[in-house]
Amino acid sequence: MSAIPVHVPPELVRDFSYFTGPGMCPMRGGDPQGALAGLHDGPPVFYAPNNTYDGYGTWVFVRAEDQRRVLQDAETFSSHRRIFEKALGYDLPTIPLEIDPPEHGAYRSLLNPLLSPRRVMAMEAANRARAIELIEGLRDKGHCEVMEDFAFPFAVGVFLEFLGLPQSRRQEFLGWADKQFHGTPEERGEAIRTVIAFMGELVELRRREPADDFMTFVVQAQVNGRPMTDKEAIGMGALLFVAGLDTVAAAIGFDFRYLAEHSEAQARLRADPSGVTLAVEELLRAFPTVLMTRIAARDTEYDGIVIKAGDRVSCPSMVANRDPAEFTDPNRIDLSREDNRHVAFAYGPHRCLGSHLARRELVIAMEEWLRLIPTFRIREGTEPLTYGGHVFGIEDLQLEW
Amino acid sequence: MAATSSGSRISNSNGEGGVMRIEVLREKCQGHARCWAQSPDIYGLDDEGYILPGDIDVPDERKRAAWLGAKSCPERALVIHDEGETSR
Ligand code: HEM
Ligand code: SF4
Repeated sequence: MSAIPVHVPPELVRDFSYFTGPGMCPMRGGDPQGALAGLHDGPPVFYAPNNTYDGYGTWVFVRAEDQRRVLQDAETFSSHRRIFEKALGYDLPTIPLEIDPPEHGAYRSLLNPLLSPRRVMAMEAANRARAIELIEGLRDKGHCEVMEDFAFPFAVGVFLEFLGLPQSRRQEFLGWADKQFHGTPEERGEAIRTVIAFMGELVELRRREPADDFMTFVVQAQVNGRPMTDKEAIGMGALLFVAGLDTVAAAIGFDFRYLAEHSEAQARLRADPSGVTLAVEELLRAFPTVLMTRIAARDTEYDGIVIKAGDRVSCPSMVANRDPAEFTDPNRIDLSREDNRHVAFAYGPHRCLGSHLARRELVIAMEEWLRLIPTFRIREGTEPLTYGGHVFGIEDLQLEW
Repeated sequence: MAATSSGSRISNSNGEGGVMRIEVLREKCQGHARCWAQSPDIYGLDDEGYILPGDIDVPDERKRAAWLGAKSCPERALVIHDEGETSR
């Protein structure tokens, strides 16, 4: 769609796309993260002319060390991507995702305590009870479709609890989530507008009727010595929806799919459930789902490569996580791997705000699943649907036991 | 503890087996809390979940725990000084 800019040397242009490349299109039984591991045999930085859902070209940074340099340098590589602009017709920055330092710091300081390791521990019991209830509800069936029957309901339940919304809204949220993440471009736009409208109403409600919940905290907060605006509060609420549902559900999906295909790993974790924490980290390393995208804020040179202001720079976590320079035998999945400094939650100031909660969700899900469900496998005659794209995903994951 | 004068706690590393020191590059810390998850008694976090400022002297019996914690930092914010060697 977009022409290759003149400053990009032809020898650095590669026929590559997260959306249509090999292993990236939706397919049965694929391995989209594994499909990109081969990039380490090529150049450390290259240019892909059509590599976003809306047709932009991007630089692709392959090595973990280089991604760390890019993501830690927010002055040169900005996060303000205007992700909602197309759907809304105006820019409504998601906060803190699309805000650059130093402004970013004020929002993070406000939100960090709400999702700190200590705060997440306080949510543990309720989240575990939620997982147990869902799993017990399908145990006797002998089979299920993990994403719809467990992963999404679990992630949405945790999200509603965190936002202080009643669980009775779960079906409604599941519907929006489904359209937002898996719909056609029109459905996605529609879902984004619905979520924004919903957050707008919630902001208004909590200004009028304060409660002991997330949105009340946000609308009553001060940033830089002034009250939070409605637009900011909406940008925060909407981001939690976009950042904290699909990511968790997809991680659960890839984790369970791996276990379903490796019964010996199930047996080991059942015999020693204390291994689940490390296993979750290793599966986050092997099957991360998020691409970090940045926009060059100014002209810069990176190891001799000219990057112009406005160029998009992509740092795929799934590629950095298989960098042989940082992980021994990176394509081998070793559920007891220590020293596992993967980038599933990014590097730099935008490090996933929800990472502590997400980790606990994944550990709880795996622990309770292994405890309550006997040895499970991919359901005979089925294969899950996997795909690349903006957030890598898995669907139609049928298991039987 | 037994810090007799400023500087002495680092410099005796060529003596009795060496003192391990973790240098904390706080401006690099992004609050992953991996160090703390690994070794909470060594790596303390503030209320936002970022590492407390100040370098850390590690007693001999906690060396391995400190090493594992430092080596789990995705940002490379924890520098290990041990036996005259430096790594992160
Ligand atoms: C396994 C699940 C998850 C994964 C893999 C994940 C991954 C990520 C990544 C890679 C980023 C950085 C994006 C960038 O720099 O461009 C990020 C940011 C963020 N995530 Fe997560 N995330 C997960 C779960 C969650 C949850 C459960 C929440 C909320 C409760 C959450 C909230 C956020 C927020 C608010 C940001 C923006 C942080 C900032 O810009 O400072 N995430 N996430
Ligand atoms: S692991 Fe690194 S980034 Fe994380 S809290 Fe510790 S020092 Fe900070």
